[in-house]
This record gives sequence, structure tokens and C-alpha cells, in this order.
Amino acid sequence: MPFDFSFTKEQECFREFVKEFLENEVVPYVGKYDKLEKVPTVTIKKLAKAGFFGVPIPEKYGGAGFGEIGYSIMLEELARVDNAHATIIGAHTGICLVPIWLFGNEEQREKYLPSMCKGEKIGAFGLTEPEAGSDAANIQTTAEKDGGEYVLNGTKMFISNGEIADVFLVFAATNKALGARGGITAFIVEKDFPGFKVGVKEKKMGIRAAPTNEIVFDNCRVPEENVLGKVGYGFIVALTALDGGRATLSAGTLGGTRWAIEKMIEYVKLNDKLDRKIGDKEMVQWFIANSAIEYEAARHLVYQTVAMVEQYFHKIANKEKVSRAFREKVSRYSAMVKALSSETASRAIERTLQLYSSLGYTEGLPVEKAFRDSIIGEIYEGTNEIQRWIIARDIVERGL
Amino acid sequence: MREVSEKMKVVACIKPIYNPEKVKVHKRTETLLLDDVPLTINPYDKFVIDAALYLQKEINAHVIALCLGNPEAENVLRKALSFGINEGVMVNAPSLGELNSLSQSYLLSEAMKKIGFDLILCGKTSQDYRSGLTGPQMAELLNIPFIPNVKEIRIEKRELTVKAKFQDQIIQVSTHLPALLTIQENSFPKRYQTSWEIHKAYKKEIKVLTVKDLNIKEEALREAVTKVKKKFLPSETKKRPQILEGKPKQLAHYLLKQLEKY
Repeated sequence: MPFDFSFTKEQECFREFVKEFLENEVVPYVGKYDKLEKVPTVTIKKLAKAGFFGVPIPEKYGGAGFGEIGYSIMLEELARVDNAHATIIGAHTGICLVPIWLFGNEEQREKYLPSMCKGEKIGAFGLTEPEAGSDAANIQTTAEKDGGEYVLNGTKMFISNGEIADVFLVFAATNKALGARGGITAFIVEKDFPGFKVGVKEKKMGIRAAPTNEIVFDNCRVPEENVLGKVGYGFIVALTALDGGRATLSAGTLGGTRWAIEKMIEYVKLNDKLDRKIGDKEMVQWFIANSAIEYEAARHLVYQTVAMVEQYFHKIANKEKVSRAFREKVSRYSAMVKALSSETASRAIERTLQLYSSLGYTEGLPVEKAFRDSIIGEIYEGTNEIQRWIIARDIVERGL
Repeated sequence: MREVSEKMKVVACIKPIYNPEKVKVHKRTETLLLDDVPLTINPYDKFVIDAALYLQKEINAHVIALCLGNPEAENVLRKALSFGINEGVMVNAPSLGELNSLSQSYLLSEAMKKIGFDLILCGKTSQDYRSGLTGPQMAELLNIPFIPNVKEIRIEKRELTVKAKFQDQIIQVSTHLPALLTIQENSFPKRYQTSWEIHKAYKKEIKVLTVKDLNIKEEALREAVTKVKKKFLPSETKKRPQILEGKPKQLAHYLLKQLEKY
């Protein structure tokens, strides 16, 4: 049944659990921590205990074994209730834990994955720099070999989970002359390695409970066994991590869209009870209908892409050969759903705000928070402009 | 039934019911529209799961979830397993339709004899028919003590002491195992699933018992089918919200007067 997009009973059961758990154990804290701009340690601990930190990883390494589809279901439900929580778990899982599983050797997998899957250790992804944002090839952080260690120097910016992470996936230039392909290496850096420092915390418009920091490497010594993949292979590690990260992130933004539609329906029904039939107004109908159309379209493409990523990752983890055509297809689709789903969410939330008007604009109801939180989907893990560049370049070269 | 039990065997009875949140009513005929409505765990049986897992933790009991239903109900059993229950057994009677409660109790009690037990836990009632008969009927059929509305359980050797709700009071009762208890709502620590347990639950092997396995003749059950004449919801009274305006003191005074009416 190639066109059957239904979820398995197990996945449905998992979604039901996630929803109930979040409603009871996370939702009551969301507003408070957003206001405090503090990491919600209370909920993070609960989520770790319930197994939210290792969803896609095979059981063998301490994960739940739900793959990328199960992980996306979790992110969708998580971002529906709070984008900051989704960001914390997303940065940990999608772009740190998963690449360690994909590219790590058995020692690295056994050393890092079990404690990270339990949420005892939190992960982060260190790629962006002051001079290299979405342009990963322009990395200035260097790594020089010194005996059995690499010495890292440089600064990374806008690192999600910076101040709470224990394990960082860091990209540094090992040979600048070779450029992106061949010159960049991925390292697993622990926060206690000498020369590693967490820098300033960013003040942000949204996802305020999710910390974003600068991280600094000042002659940071990293043992050579902490090279992830091969030396010079870092760009592939980063791109692969981001392909998965973007696809699953788009499942998160789907959650935002669904939340917005639910809020619009709630508002119409409330007004109905008060004899203000706003649901009869064409403008309101268009808000809801357009968001629903876009949501359904995005949902199908998101999960189709996530299923593709799952297959892709399975091959990489098992060291099977992946064709270039398949790799590029995954990149293109991930870029597409990242842009599509994040913009769908932003539009739907903006419509919700407009529908709620002054009530939506003021603090108290969560609409203004959702509006502030939604924009980041269009920015992190490569801006949507970069996604369009990836898509266009690939389509011009290979056709639709 | 075993004479010597190394690990206490606790059987939790789980009833699959149509998810009440998804059931819709046909506007004209007032019949329930059950097509495509998924089955779910009877909400009262969730408290049974909490109690069973409390015993698993406290006395290292081996917990078995027992479920009666068609193959579709297997998902409900797996969901029960995903809370951390050790084993699942399904009594499969697909060809018989909707059995009346005595026949269901009979089938379940025969299954109990087959799998063995020290303690049986049931929900107080079910959210669909709300008869509350299965527990007491099974106890009678198995000829074991029955205590309803249990809030606390203590087991020492084969001595069972429970606290149970009786009318408006809490009573303490002691008896020997084996026994059957129905569980009072919200009495034991609420258990959540974990992502690990859910994944495991869907990989576990489920033991299926058929009517044949239980040495029951299908003909004997064929007459014991509930014949439903009509299913409908009580008529809905439309309540309208009232918006009050005025000074807080006046409003408080008005609300107080309204409350006094009750």
C-alpha cells in the first residue's frame, strides 16, 4: 500500500501516551518558565524519566527504538504544547544523539548513547559561528593535532542547550586548505574537557525557556578517539544530522499549526455559545480552512519525508551503501518540509492572533507566546532562505 | 491453582470498550455510531493497572493482564502491557458476538483456572454498560473471597489485608489468598507508560486462549448473547452561559444568593 499514510497501532499508542503525559506533567509549567526565561528543570527530569530523550535510538543502545517516525510524533506533540521544550529535546536528540549513533564506532556508541537516552546527559550541536551561520563551509574554529589529542580553538554561537548540555557535537577545521569537503572534522566534546567554556546566554524573542549560548574553545583538548566518523568527514556528518533534524523539526512545527487550528475552533465555539456567530463570517472561515488545507498538505509531506529519513538513517547506521541520488533526495525533501511546515505554522498562528485580536496580543492567553515561539522554526537549522537555495540548486541540476 | 507460589501471581482484568470520546450519536435515529471507533481500556481498569503495578513493585508480584475480546482488542491488551505489566493473555471469542455478563465472567474464570492466580484485580465497573457484575460473578464462579472498592492492599505470606470503601466509611478486611478485589478509583500511585515500555509491549508475545482451549462448548454460549434493542444517549439539556456584569462586590453577593438556592 504505497499511499497508506496511517500510523501503526504502536505509534498511535505512543502518541496517546505523549499527549496525556504532556497535558498533565508539562503544560502546567510552560507559561511560568517562559516568563522566567529559565530552563524548566522540573519538566526536563520528568520527561527524561518517561523516556523522551532517546526515542529514535535502537533499544540496544538504551533508546526506545521508535525510529525517526516515532521521534517525529513525539516532537509534533511536544511543540504543540511548547516550542521551547521541543527545542531542548530536538537539539539533544536530532542533531547530537542521532549523529553519534549514525557515525559513532561501537565504543563511542556504548560510551555516550545509554546515558544520553536516559536524559542523564544532554546533548547539543555546535556548528554555527559568528562568521559561519547557515554557511557551514566557512567554519573558523580550528582543531590541531597534538600527540593523541586535538586542540580546538574558536567560538560557536546560538548553540541550543549550550548551558545545560554535557555532550557537544562540534565541527572544526582540521585542514582549511581542503575546504568543507575534507577539511572539517566532527568531534564529541564533553563539557568537562579542559579549555571548554560556556559563554553568554542570548536574550531571545521566543522559546525563552530553551537556553541558547555562545560556547568557547580556548585550547580545548579533545582525545583523538572522540573524532566522530573520520577526520575530514565532518561536513557529511553535519549535513546528515541536519537532514534528519530539519525533517523532524518540521514535524514539530506541524504541532504548532495544529495547536493554532484548535485554538481558532475553540474561539469560534466559545463565541457561538455567547451568540456571537463569528464562525459564519467568511474571513474566519478562510482563516480556519486555509490553515487546515495547509496543515494536511504539510502533514503528508512531512511524514513521507520522515519515513524516507528513517530508511536513510537505517542504512547509514548499518554501514550500508547509500546512493548519491537517495542522499540528495532526502536533503531536498528535508529542506522542502522544513520551509513548508515552519511557514505553515507561522501563518496559522498569525491568523489565530488576528482572530483573537487584542486578546491574542496581550499576555495571559498563550497566543502571543505561540506567535513569538513560532518564528524560530523559519530560522534555526538553516534559515528557510538557505532551504530554498538547497531545493533550487538540486532541482535545477536534476529536475523535479 | 498452585499450592506453592514462588512469585505472587496477580491477574489484572482489562475490559476493552469503545473509546467514549470518539463515539458519536446519529442525530435522527439516536443510535450510537460505532464504525471506526477505536477500542480503549475501560477507564476504571486503569486503576486496576495502577494497583497491579503497585504490587509488582512492593512484593515483586508477577502481573498478568487478562482481556476478553476479538482480535481487535489485542491493541487494548498491548496498551495495558505498555504500563509495565509482565505478561498478556487474551481470551478470544470472536464468533460469539456480545456475550452477556455472566457468560463473560464464566469465560474469564475458566481462563483464570488455566493460567493460575493468587490474586485477581478487577475494575469497579465498566464505562460502557456499568453493570459492575464481572468481578463478583467471577469470585462466585471460582469460589474465592471477594472484596469490593479496595483502596489499600497488604499481603504477608498468604494473608491479605485490605482497606476498602464501604458506603461512606473505610473498612479493614482480612482474608486468605486467593481472592478477588475490585479497585477503588485513584487509590494507588498513578502510573505512566514510558517510551521504552510501549515499544517492548508491542513486541511481547501474547498468549491467546480460545473457547476450545478452555474446554467450553460454543453452543453453550451461543444463547448467552446480549441482544441490544436500542442504544441511545440521554436527552441533552442545553445550558447557556450567563455573562454577569457589575462591581465585584455586587457580583459576589449575587453568586452567593444563587449558590444558596442549592
